[in-house]
Parts: sequence; structure tokens; C-alpha cells
Amino acid sequence: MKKNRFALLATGSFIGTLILLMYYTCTGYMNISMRDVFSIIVETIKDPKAAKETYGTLWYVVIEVRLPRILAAAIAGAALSIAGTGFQGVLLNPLADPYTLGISSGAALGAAMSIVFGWNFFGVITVQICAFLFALITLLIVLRMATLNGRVSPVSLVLAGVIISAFFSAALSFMKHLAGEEVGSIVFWLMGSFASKKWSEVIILLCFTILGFIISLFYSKDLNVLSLGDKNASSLGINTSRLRTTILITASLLSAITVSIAGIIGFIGLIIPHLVRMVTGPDNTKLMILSPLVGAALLATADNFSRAWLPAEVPIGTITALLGGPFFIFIFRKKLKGE
Amino acid sequence: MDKKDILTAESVHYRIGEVSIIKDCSLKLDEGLFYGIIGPNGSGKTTLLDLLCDYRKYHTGEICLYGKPLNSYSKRDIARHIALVPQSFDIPFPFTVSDVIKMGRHPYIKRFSSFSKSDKALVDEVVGELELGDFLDRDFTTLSGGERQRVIFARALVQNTDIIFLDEATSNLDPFYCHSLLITINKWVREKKKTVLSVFHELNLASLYCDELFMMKDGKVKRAGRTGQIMTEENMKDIFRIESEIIQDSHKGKPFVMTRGII
Repeated sequence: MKKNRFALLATGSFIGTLILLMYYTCTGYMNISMRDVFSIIVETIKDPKAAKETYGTLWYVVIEVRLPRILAAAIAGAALSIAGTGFQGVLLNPLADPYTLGISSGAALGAAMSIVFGWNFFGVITVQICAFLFALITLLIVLRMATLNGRVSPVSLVLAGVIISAFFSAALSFMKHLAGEEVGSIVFWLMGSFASKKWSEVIILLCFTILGFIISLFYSKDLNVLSLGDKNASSLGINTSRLRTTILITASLLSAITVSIAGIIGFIGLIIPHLVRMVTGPDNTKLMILSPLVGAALLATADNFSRAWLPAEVPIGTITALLGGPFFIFIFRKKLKGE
Repeated sequence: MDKKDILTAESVHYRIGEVSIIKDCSLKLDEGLFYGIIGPNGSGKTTLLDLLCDYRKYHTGEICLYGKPLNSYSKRDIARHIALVPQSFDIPFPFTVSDVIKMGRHPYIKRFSSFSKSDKALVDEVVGELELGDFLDRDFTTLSGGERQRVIFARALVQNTDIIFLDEATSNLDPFYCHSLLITINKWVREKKKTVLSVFHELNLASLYCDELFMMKDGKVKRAGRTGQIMTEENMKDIFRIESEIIQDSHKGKPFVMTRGII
């Protein structure tokens, strides 16, 4: 794909996603016109207090309820897509996503433990911090397991991730068993949700996503060369172990922050890079730019489906799993046939 | 140190776990010659190439590039001096042939900048020389083993280094392309003063193209010297455990190994 065409496509996707998010802000239990939503946002940016007084309930619904939720879903979609692109590029495995490494289940276990045991080391954000710490510990264990003679091989990395994932899933089941009355909150959280997200969470998510995006984009050309394999990449001047570690930590951070704020949302990190690759080809620079935009639009749409269009709210993780499962099988079969 | 010594190894040791793969290995490369490494399976040929191009880190001893220790160079600098053509390999994503060849310029291109005119000219020259023009838009993953090998060969030539390593780079090729690649690389050695170090499985191929040979066994360079002088029946016996007869090829005067049996 030519550069100009790609620039046009990326700009179009960006504007399209913004319009989509605006439209979703209009929909819900209470229908609000696009014009009202627009002026509420503009007035609030100018002078929040005055806007609050002028619009009353409408202001509350748009600014405090819908926007944080819709933005959280969009940014989480972007973060998971960047993470998925990174994992796939580093593991040289088109089937990789935050789960292949066990990162998501590690983060989920950390959060579940803090809920069940009632930990309160870090005040109101204990759950988030536990999820994040466990994700990092998981990454260290997986990297440690996969490192031989100072080098990390892609195959042993996937294997280590699968082993850790299986172990943590068992531990999670045990947590659910221990939870008793609390089981409802854990289960809902495990299935993922953007309901009642706060602006503070949106900001945290946004900051880390931007950081992850910049790092991933910086190394995107190196990732292209890495797909020639370790030896070729090394002979082309790339420190493969360092590149791999950097991208893995970045992608894990993005996955962990997303899990800590919205629970487990599967398959976005797997599907989006694939869809985008079909259009742009395998160049990681293009993937790193376009995937987050498409991921944002898709996850916001899935969440809006649950929030505004279904009669009762369904956990977002369930929706992505229902969509993503068949897609995973499709890619898997395609890969099998290709080999 | 002699100015001509572009790459030297002194008593290099390398082990994986407790097993020594390379033991007390020494060699010296001069500018503008075609070197070959031959030796039985498991003698450490590929590992030695890996050490010499900094893909693996040696434990003791010293490897010097232009008189300076290899580990004093950055990865990128090494990639501007040494190119490697490995045995055939697979890539998981559908990059085009043109994408893959262009990656050979990676060590020279600054982040976020694009291909210059001279980069492009070099790519065109190599593509023309290796007759890959018709392949450029093909998906690399759909190519046959031999076609891939030619593409990866082009990728290394585009890197435009003084030293080129070949690791059984012609093993998947039919006789025409095998010789055509070796003739091309030989031309680069003569005309552009490149230095080539190539691992060969096929003894007579090594004999036909190499100026000098290293014979490896048990992680050591056991014999080194002019091809004509060390391709002997005795060395074949000691290194490869084969009974042979060395015939002088009437065309180019190269030694030709006829295997008569095993020991």
C-alpha cells in the first residue's frame, strides 16, 4: 500500500472513529440529539460549571456517565490492539495475543486475590495495582522460563505462556470457590465491563496507551526485520533480546492496565491486527498506527451494543469472546492449511 | 597486527550449558579472499559463524574485527561490516520479496526516515544481478525453498558489507542457481574486494570456489590453508573418516574429491 493512500486511510479511520464515538454518546436509555451532545462537550471544555447549570441532567448523562464509559472502551480497544500487534510481531506468531503469554490471566488472578482476601494495601486502587503487579510477575516468570543461554526463543516463550496460563486459570477457579458471596463481583469482573467508569480511570488508561503507542511505533521497523527470524535480524544490526523484552514489557503493561480497569476482554488483541493486516499488509508501522483506531471503534461498538441496544447488559468480554471465538478458529484453520 | 587482517579469532571457547561446542578455535581472514569452512556434522561450523558475527557471545578468547574486539562494536556497526546468509528459513507474515530485500538496508537507515536514491540503486543492481525482477511483488511465504534462498542472498548483498558469511547458503538450490550465486559472489570477491567465509557441506563445491579452507572437527579448526594444499587424501581420512582419491580437475586445476569408501 502506497504512503499517500495509507495516510488517507489512517486520517479517515481517525475521523470515522471520532464520529462513531459521538454517535454512541447520543444513544442509550435516553436519546440525546447529536447537536446537544456536541454543544455540551464544547461548553464543558469552555466552562464546566456553567455547562453543568445550563444542561442539568443531560450534562450529567453525557459527561459523567456516557463519555467516560465510551472513551474507556475505545482506549481499551486501542491498547489491546497495540499489545496484540506487539505480541504477534515479537512472538512471530499470528495467533499470539495477551493470553498466549498468560499476562491477562496473571493480571486477573492478582485482582481476584485482592478482592477475595479483602486486601487494602493501596486504598481504592488496590485491585488495579494487584492486577498490574501480577502481570509483571507473570511476564518475568514467563521470560525466565523461556530464556536459555541469554536468549529468548519464540517457541519456548509461547510454551511458557500456555503453562502459566493453565496454572493461573486453575488458581482463578480456586479463588472463585473461595469467594462465596463475593463470587458475583469476581465473575462479572472476569468477564469484563466498562459500566460506571470514572474520568480518573480514563485518564490513566489514556496516558499508558499513549506511552505504549509511542514505544511500539518507535520499534515498529525493527519488528519488521525481526520477522525474518532471530539470526537474520541480529545480522541486520538488531539486538533481538532487547527488542523482544522492550516490546513484551510494553505490550504487557498495556494488557495489564486494561485488565485492571475493565477486566478480561479477549480476542481484541488477536482480531484487530489480523483485520488490519488484510488491508495494509504486514508492515508493523502501518499496523501500529491503524490497529488502535480500528480496535477503538470495534470495542466501543461492542460495548455500545451491550449498553444501549441489548435489553439487558451483557459483559463485554462475553460479546468479544462470542465474536472472537469463531474468528480465532478461522485464523487457526487458515494457518494449519498454510503449513 | 597486519593491516590486511580484517577478522581474527584467537583461542575462542563457547559452550552451551556444560558442553563445549567451540574449543580453542583460531582463524584469520584476509581481505579479498573466498574462504570455506568444511567439517563433519556437529563439528561447530555454524556455531563458529554465529560467534564471528556476534549472534552468539563467546566465553573466552578474542574475536577482532579490523583489530578491535568484536564486543566493542555496536550491533548496528557489525551489521555494516558483516552480512550473513543463513540456511533457509520461514517468515510468519506475508511480506513481499521486495520488502524482504529492502530490509538489507536496515543497518543504514535512520529511524523514521525512508529509502534514499542510493539505497534504491543498490537494491536495483542486486535484483538485476540475481534475476529477481519478476519476483519483487510476490509474497515471500509462497516461494519455494530455492527461491527464498535467492531472495535472502539478495538481502545480504544489498547490505553491502566488506565481509559476507554464507551458511550452506546454496543447499536448497538446483545446480544452475547454486553456481550462479557462487559465481556472483566470487565476482564480488574479485572485483569489489569482498571477503567471503562460507560453510559448505559439498566438498567439491568448496574446492571449486574457495581460495583457502578451514577444516573443522570437534569444535576446532584442525587444518587451514590453500585449498589445493590441504584437500588431501590424508586430511579426508582424518577429518571426514572417508577413503578418497583426489583428482586434479583438468578444467581449472582444482582438486576433486572422489569418495571411495568410509573408514
